[in-house]
Amino acid sequence: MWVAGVLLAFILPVIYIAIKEWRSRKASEKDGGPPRKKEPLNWSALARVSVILFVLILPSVWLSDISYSFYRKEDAALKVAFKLSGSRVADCEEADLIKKEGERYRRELKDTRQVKMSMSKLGRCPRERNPVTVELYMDGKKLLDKSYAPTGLKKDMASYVFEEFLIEPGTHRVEAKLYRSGAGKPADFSLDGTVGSKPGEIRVVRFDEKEGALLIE
Amino acid sequence: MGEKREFSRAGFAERAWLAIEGPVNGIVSSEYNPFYYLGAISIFFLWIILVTGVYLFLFYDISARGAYLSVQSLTVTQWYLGGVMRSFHRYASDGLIITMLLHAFRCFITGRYRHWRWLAWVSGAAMAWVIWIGGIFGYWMVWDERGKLIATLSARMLESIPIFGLPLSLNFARAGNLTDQLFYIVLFIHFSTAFFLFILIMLHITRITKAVINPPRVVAYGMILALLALSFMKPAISGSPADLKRLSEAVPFDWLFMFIFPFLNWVSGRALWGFIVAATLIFAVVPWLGRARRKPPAKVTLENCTGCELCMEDCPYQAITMRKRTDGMPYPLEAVVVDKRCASCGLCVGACDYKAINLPDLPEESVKDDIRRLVAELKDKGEGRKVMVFACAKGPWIDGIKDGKGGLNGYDWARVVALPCIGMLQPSMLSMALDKDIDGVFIASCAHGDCHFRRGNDWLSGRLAGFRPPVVKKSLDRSRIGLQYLSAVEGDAFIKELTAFREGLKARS
Ligand code: HEM
Ligand code: SF4
Ligand code: SF4
Repeated sequence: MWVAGVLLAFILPVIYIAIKEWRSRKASEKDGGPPRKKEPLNWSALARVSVILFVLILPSVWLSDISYSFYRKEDAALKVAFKLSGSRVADCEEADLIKKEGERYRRELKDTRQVKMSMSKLGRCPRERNPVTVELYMDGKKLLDKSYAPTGLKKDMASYVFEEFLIEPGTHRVEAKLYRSGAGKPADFSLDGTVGSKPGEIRVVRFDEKEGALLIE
Repeated sequence: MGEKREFSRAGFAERAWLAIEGPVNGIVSSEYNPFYYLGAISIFFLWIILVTGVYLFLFYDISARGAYLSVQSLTVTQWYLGGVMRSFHRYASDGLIITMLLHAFRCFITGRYRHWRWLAWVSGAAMAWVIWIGGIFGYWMVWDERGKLIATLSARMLESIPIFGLPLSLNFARAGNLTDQLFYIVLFIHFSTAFFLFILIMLHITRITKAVINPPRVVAYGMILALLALSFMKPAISGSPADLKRLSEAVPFDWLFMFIFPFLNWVSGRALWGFIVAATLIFAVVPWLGRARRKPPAKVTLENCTGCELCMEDCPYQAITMRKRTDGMPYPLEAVVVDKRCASCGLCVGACDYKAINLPDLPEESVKDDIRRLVAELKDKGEGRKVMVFACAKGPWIDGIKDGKGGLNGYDWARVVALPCIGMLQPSMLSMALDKDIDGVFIASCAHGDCHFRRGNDWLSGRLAGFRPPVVKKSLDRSRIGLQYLSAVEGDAFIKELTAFREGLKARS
């Protein structure tokens, strides 16, 4: 298992260093130190040291156990959380390009026996995606209007949407609009529903890939 | 030659601290005083954390669904071993924070962080980071309600770093998003802190000769007993399992590790990072803040050096290296001082039998001149037993050190020679002081186990006992040599011990 391997890789140097240290201590005991007999354990000192150390670390019993609540008891939360790819900025049929290039390659290979695959031509097909924009209204009030940039160095990967709002418990009307086709285009998906939330409860607005729709969970 | 060395008194804060920890020597001897071993104790806590951690890992189910249950069942069904291991793991970590903070505080308050110690200080700050990170991820792994809150808050912190692309929080938004992979990563981070710590510890003590990395056996056993007591007093347990559909309610919080998170209630993650980074930087540059004159480093007089390596052995900060002879003398080696690492403590002077290494502001000859002068002064005093005192300047702040003249108000039968560290006391200085007209030599060392230059008083007692070269001559009457270990706040004890020593001296025949 790789975890075991990795852990071993960590433990081995530690063991190596420990053994080295131990051996060098053995060696340094020889040079110059007082001749060391193995002294019997000093029991009364042990008892006293234990008590002092106990007192020293005793505070951790409380310090590790003080109750803390980050949220208020009456808080509820609405999260917007999902991952979605915006549409491609430029229409570029990559598959088509590959097919054409392949054909050219085969043809020229037959004719000249030395061709280069023109990768740059393929590379020119822009893969950049549009940001994903989410608008969220609760009881008619705007909570969120934000664009989420595509990830990846070439901006060609999905956008990740995550927001958390603390809300009053109760029933709320939630409207959401989702844009993934770039500026000026109409919303690709929308949602209009009600959520009821009890204190402490978390509701999530998300985009479900399978259903292809915004849902409240 | 520049000015003669002047000594300064320990500051008020340092004395206050010494007055607090000193009495512990009355309960356990200084040989076992935990305050003198805080670094070594911290390392021993780390060993305990490592061993118990490996045991816990054997039973840990690295998955979103299994993690909580595996920890819980280990705690409950195997309370006598797994549960104890878990409590050890928890309390050793908490103990580590306490001893680490005390260790850092102690280094600060006793002024042991500047100049040649900067590397230890800065690497110490890095260790603190790693330890806190390790603890935070450790609590996360339990995946109970507390783990969930810590995960949520630390994810929020991580996401607020601009270069951190993916929102981790997505993982906790729904149970369906939570992957086993995340638990692998968390385990990996948690465990790798051990690795980084060991590297950092190596760095922490690279410039420290024979660093004390193991506490005495008694202290180590004491730590185990103390942890055992805590484990049974209040075993470490989990809260209720993490429920991603609900906001975390009140959870028991480990403030030693999590103190930073509550600030998120008031400031944004980014602001909090700014604060943490600023605080770390300020902490890390403390060794360079304020003015602190550095004493001139030791100088080798090459004509005298035989390359015997004794000074290198005794230098507490690895400031002396040996290199191939450069002056054509028939010795293979010669000593070289690395100025930047030199603490100007004089331990090398005490180690050199050939007058080959010196502190420019306190050369061996000037110490000996002082001894001659003070012995002569005492001789003129006529009747009564006379005592020469060698005093560590880090010890009690007595008259002879204050004015640098060597007199001791109200005790005209004694004269004081002050040394920056008692380890500078070269055996020939002792012989010189124990002149036939002087009845005894009283050595006032700083507290045993708490030498400001780490090992000075050890080396001295080794030389006195005859096993550490250069040894004190056998012919010196040991009954006329008194040795007391006294901290900067034990001025009264100094007078008491000195007087008692004098009264115990036989008259010279
Ligand atoms: C768990 C963390 C730490 C461990 C295990 C540790 C361990 C040690 C050890 C074994 C020594 C050598 C003691 C000796 O032989 O004289 C030492 C020295 C030192 N440590 Fe740490 N330390 C830790 C954290 C820190 C921290 C957080 C600081 C401060 C920022 C710090 C500052 C120092 C300094 C300045 C010295 C040099 C003391 C001297 O030169 O006398 N350490 N530490
Ligand atoms: S102890 Fe003296 S003689 Fe020996 S190496 Fe050091 S300086 Fe040279
Ligand atoms: S004065 Fe101290 S730190 Fe400097 S070389 Fe000598 S023993 Fe080392």
